[in-house]
Amino acid sequence: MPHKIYFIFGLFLFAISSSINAQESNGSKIQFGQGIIFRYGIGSLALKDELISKEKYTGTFPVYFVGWSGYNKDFGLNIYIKWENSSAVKDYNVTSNLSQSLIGISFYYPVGSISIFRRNLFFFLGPAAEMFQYNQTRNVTNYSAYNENALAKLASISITARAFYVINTAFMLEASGRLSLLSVANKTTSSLAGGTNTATAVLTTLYGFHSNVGINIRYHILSHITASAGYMFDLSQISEWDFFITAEDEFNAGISYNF
Amino acid sequence: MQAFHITFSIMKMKHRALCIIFIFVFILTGCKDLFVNDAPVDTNYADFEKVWNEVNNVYPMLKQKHINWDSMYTYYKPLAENAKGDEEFKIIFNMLLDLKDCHTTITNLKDQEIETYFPPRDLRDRLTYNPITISRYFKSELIITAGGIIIYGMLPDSIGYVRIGNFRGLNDFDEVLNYFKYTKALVIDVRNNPGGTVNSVEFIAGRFIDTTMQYMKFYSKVNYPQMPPLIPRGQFIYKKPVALLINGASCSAAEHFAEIMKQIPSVTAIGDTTEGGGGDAGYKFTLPCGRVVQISDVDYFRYDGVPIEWNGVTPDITVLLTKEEVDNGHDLQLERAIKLLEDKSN
Repeated sequence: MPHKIYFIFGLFLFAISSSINAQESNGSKIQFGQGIIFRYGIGSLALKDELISKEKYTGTFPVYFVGWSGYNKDFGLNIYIKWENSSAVKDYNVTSNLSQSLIGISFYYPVGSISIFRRNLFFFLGPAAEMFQYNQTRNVTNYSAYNENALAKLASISITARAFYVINTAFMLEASGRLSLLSVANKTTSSLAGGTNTATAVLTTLYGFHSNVGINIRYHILSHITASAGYMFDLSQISEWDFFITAEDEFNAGISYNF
Repeated sequence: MQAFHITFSIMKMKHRALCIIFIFVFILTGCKDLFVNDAPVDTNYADFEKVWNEVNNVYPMLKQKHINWDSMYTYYKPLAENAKGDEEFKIIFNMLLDLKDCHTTITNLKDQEIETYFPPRDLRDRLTYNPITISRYFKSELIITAGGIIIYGMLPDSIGYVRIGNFRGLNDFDEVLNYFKYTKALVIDVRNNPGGTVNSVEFIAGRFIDTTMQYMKFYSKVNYPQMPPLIPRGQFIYKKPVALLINGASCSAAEHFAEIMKQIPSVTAIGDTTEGGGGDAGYKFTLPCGRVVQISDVDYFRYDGVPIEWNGVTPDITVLLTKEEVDNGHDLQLERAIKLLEDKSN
């Protein structure tokens, strides 16, 4: 904790060492990050699926995101797919193969704006529908006939929020958050070679959810092209059956093209 | 706080934005470790010692399988001493896997038994038994009894067919055999039969032998009870020709049954060599971590003195069968059995 305070203080020192004034927004037409979006990230994940093990498995690996985003004066629409897989998620010397994917569609409706430092912060809120899938195979042996696999799916209705803060004509700060409210969850496990058990249930947020929260800064390179860099924190949990949780810090960079 | 506001307000917007991002990121990174906790410390080395000692004291096939169990200790001990987290389970699993015994199991976190090893013949043949393909050889529906363990029906030319799914709870078998009392011949199918109890083996076999038979010999390091001899029993002894279907997924008690039935002159074993599970599921012990391990405590031999473990019981007539042939509607082993019995009864 003390190190965090020193770091934050150091950050402020860096920030104020540059001169002068905050720039005003010129009030020109706001271009939110829209169009086709390609994003590449590095995710640092921690995972526990107590059907397989009570141990925490961790790993760092690439995260891929492709989406399309569009906004008009009435609402915004976002369609996306995100996926990642790794064969090096580990608990000490025991590895697991992991793949996770997320497909979703979300709608954003403007709910208002406030002024901060003489610039507008725009808020959007809306529903989303998502399908989250996770698949883990633990490798305790090279014996191919032994298979220790866990699979979970969450089809969710979520609430999603976004905020845009236009710094100037070139830069914009974006924040987003999403939380599933109601999900149809399916957990399929196979701890015996050739044998499977599957359970399905409708879960509220208390018993199963997928959520994320993120922030990034966007830079308008050209009129149709923007670049972004940011951070996202993903959290998924199912407690209806054997406790399952994944949490991931992701640093990403992306590019969008508005055609 | 006022100084913070003043400082923040004189920053360039871009820098403010970057600050906000960095603060957000700094606070949240590492949150994953707050949400996903480390597991409590588990017992590691004591589990390894328990497994090694129990196998050393009880498992009867180390010499037969040329397994140098002392060298296993030398190899695994330093790994076990330094094991953390799931490394312990990995070590124990692989140590048990080295026995290559289909009767060796360890429980998972759900207290379900996990088989550590599947013999190659089992993996090859487990998909070659297809009840839908078999049903095509019958003009009428097959009858299911004993909770689905026994399935039987009448093949053409007054040849009976009975499938025994495993050797447990087979009290209905006498009624089934009554159904076939006046048939010309009988097919008994124990393919993909994972075994069961030797009591059930004796119960069934006793309807086919007409004289007392000694049970197969065995070796054990512990005080393993001697099986009583097989004696003829029931309302009648079935003496007509019998074709016994076996394959690489016939295991354990099914192999005992096959070997016993092969000694009867009217019985012909058709198919492929059985799995090679000559031990049993008799000996269990609990590790300090709570998992339960099962190992064989007996080594059964065929009547010719060859251990069943790894060698299996060989058929009198070898007929190989692939999954593709079965999926295409041809159970070549059943067809061979029918042809043999037709020839014998004519």
